[in-house]
Amino acid sequence: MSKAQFAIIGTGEVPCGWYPDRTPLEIASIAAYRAIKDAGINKDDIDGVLGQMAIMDNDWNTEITFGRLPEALGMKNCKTTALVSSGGASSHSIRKAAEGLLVSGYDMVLCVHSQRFSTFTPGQLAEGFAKAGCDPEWEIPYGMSFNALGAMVTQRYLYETNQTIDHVAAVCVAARKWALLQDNAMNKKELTMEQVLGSRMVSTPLTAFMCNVLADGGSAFIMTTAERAKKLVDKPVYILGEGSRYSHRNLTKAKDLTRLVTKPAADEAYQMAGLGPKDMDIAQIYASYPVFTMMIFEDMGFCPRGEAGQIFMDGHTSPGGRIPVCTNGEALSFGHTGTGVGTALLCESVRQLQGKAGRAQVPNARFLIEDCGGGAFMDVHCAVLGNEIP
Amino acid sequence: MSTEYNKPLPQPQKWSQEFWKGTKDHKFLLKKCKECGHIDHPPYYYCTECMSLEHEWVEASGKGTVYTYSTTYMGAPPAFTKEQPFTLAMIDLAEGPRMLSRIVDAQPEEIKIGADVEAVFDDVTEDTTLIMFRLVK
Repeated sequence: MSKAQFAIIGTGEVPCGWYPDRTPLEIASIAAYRAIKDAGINKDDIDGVLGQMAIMDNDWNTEITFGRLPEALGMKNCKTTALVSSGGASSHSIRKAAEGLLVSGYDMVLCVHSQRFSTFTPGQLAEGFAKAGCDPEWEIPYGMSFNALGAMVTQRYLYETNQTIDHVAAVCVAARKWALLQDNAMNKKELTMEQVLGSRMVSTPLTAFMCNVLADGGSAFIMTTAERAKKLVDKPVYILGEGSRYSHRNLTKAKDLTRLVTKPAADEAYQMAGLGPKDMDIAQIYASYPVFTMMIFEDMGFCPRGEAGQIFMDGHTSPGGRIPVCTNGEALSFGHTGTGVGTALLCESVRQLQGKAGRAQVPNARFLIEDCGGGAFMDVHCAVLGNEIP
Repeated sequence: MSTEYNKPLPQPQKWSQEFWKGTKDHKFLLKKCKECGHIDHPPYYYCTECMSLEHEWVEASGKGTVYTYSTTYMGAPPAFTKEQPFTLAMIDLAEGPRMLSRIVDAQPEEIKIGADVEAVFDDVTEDTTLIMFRLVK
């Protein structure tokens, strides 16, 4: 990819939450409908349709694989459709797949994520996520869970950086403040430090409010070349720079559990964009557990290592702060929709840069950095987006 | 014993069967490359450093230190909820690799990052033995 070769021109989203009567096809249909209307394009101009893999829902994944989306959405000129996945990094992989189609001559690609968790029992979800995050031979037999993964990283990070559990709680409180401004967020009640720290212990040192909440949800976005985008919409959102790194499958194989591989990925994205952390108006960080918000914020270059917690605690990342972080409330408060957390953040990024973020709008936002990562924090993908080309 | 055990058991790959045969005999084996000396744990088909297919199984000392840990009080997968709380840990083995396991026979507040631990063998069924760790006091 070269700088500003591609752009996103429209997004759509459904409310996040517990809606057992809303089928995955219904979620996908509503999200896609809204994205197409938002972009103001003719649906028949879309010639590629990509669906994101859902966690634990093999029937829906099969539906996408076998071509449901273009038929249901009426894409009369569709040339191809496919299922794309890489865990929480799916917003990245589906975008790269779309870029590949555009490079090879496609005109416009619709990307859709849809997930329904509410028809599973809490036990099935705990087991399903344990299998997603942990090794079946070497970790699952010990009783590993996704929360335990997040907890062990938190424990080590606090030990190495001398930050405290209060700092971790501050990240959760900040996320909630943004969710309060989002109509589609799952959690819309105010949250205090005392509530976060005083909620039930799940896996030390993480309490219940430090763990994300699974939710049904979905979102969609439309991508095309930057050249075409300029003719179609007032404010295309350009992909100005990208950087990626893969690290591991089993978390025991991560070289440094408290840094992941964010820094080289972020540096690459900044370099391609010709921008740096000081140019960013927002940081949209895929974390799912607050410790990752802290370490990724540091490695994106916004502050030295070990100082993120205080910045969150002082309100600098909250609405009205100097560097807003996760303006939709992220997995912690918007809701964890499986592979869709990053897609929701990407769509929120586009809304922010198009001036369509409603009550959560960051005034005059021009540039931002977003990231996503999959599996048991196996990879980091950073992208610098902008509504102008610097 | 095996009829009562309802938790997930390891389903070994062809190249890891030797490890599980070892634990059954209360031996802690690691797969070491004969060409470059790299130890792969978890083991894979070929050496992940040099791609050599030649390897040997060497006995580990069983000694290590706690890299990180967490005591799970709630939210474990269904098969494990009855035994909550339990402490999961990543152990840095003296031989180099880091592995996931549990720390047994300890109160949660006794466990610290950097603590010395040693391997113990837990015969969970007639056929399967898991390696656990306990604090060296």
